[in-house]
Amino acid sequence: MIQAVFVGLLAWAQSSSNPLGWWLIREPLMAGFWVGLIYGKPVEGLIIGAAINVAFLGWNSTGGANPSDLYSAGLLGTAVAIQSNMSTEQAVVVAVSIGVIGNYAWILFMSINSMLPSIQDKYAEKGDVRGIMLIQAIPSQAVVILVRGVPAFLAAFYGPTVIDGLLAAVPAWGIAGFNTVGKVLPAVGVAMLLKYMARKDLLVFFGLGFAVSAYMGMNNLLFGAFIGAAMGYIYISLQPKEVVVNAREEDEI
Amino acid sequence: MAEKVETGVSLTQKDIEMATLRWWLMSHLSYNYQRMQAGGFASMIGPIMKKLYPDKPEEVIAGLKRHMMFFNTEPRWGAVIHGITIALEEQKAKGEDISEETIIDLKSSLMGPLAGIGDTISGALYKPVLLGICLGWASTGSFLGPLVFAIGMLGYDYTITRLSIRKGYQLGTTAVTTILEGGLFKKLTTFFSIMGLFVLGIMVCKFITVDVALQTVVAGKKIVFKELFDQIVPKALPLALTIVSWRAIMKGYRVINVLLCLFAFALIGGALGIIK
Repeated sequence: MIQAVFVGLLAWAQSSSNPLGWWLIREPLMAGFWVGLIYGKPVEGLIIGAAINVAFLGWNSTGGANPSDLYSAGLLGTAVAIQSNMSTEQAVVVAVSIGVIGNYAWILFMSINSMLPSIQDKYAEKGDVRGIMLIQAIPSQAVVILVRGVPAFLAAFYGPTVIDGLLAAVPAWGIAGFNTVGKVLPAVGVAMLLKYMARKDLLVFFGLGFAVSAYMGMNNLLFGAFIGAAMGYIYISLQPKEVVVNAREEDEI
Repeated sequence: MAEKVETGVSLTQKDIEMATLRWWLMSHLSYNYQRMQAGGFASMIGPIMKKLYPDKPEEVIAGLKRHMMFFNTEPRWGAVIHGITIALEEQKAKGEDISEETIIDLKSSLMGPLAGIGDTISGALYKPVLLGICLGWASTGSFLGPLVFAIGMLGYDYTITRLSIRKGYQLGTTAVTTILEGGLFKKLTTFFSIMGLFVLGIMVCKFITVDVALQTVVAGKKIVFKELFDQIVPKALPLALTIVSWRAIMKGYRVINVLLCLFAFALIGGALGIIK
């Protein structure tokens, strides 16, 4: 009970819409750690959160077409998984499913908040700066508690029982399929990221990274980042002045 | 000194720092469909308007009203707009001929392009690379993952916001031309793209752990398909799944549908023992 209350509070802080919430709690990696701490298993929480996070690598905060909600997936996915002793693969599936429902919390937050600018307008008419700032800061927090905190508490409290019941009803081959889903879903995260990063002329570096890892078994990402940075630096240094090249091409045409 | 008193109030370094802090903490607090970050912008600039017009409440009201208009940009790089706006408001208060339309036009014409730049660098390049590295640590249970991520993101977030506002304030409108047309942005995105794509290639192998499970017996000989694939292209299945999903998203299929297809594929494949 107390733990579920803490999960609810965490959900509030996570969605309080400021850099502290974004970078200290929002990402499933962070949320997993905090939830793990609440249930006395910080390392397990971290590992589950990280696994969930991979499926959300391409999640973008600009409010585009995110198939699943990052906030609730990481936080509640870990909260349920850690209580039900799930494998990380199962946790990913549960988390992504929770996030699909969680998307509505974001829409609710944005919609209810849409009443606020009109109140701020009234304060602007009076030249009341403090009033504008208070409306900016306070009422939306109540909205967050309502659309995020309370559902999170309920999910953390009742979720494991429901999920345990569901899992008990699934036959062995279903569980095998379920686990495979958890191993496949990260492909969506990587694919979404590829959509944002890929440039035709630079795609060869993606292939290079894959080849180095697949054939040599090298999967140290920090090492990869250093090599990637070095290649990026060399590539930029070797590039001719673009403006001149373009001008010539146009001349020839 | 005497000249400054005559021409109105000058803003200090501290005013800019406080405005930065207000924006940094408050930009999205009441984020909404109606006007997005308008309330955040007004909260950022409100106290500055009060300082600029100590005994002209009607000017404060006019200022608050024009900054309660629809506003939405990437909060870090886009804060260049805030710096420029503060500079313009300061000059306007000092009696320079700057119309309200100039300020409003400037804000609404710059918020889009700067959001594009900011979202690319922050959301599509810097964060994923840092996140990828930290996830590598975290998946082995190392607390270095969350620690480095938190410091890396908070530090980046505040530093870029602060620099953007300062540069915007110092350089005025020329700041944006430098950012938008200068080669720096292009170089930065190329650099991060190469680094990011290389790391992403490794992530395919590291994080997508599905494999071929199929095996069969032909003429008394057991054939394990995974071993066959591994001799040609190891990790071919994760790569294929990634490429197919990516192409589907690029072709305009909704991500949720791609997700559901993968879900069904994995569920059936796993249940039948073809993949594991």
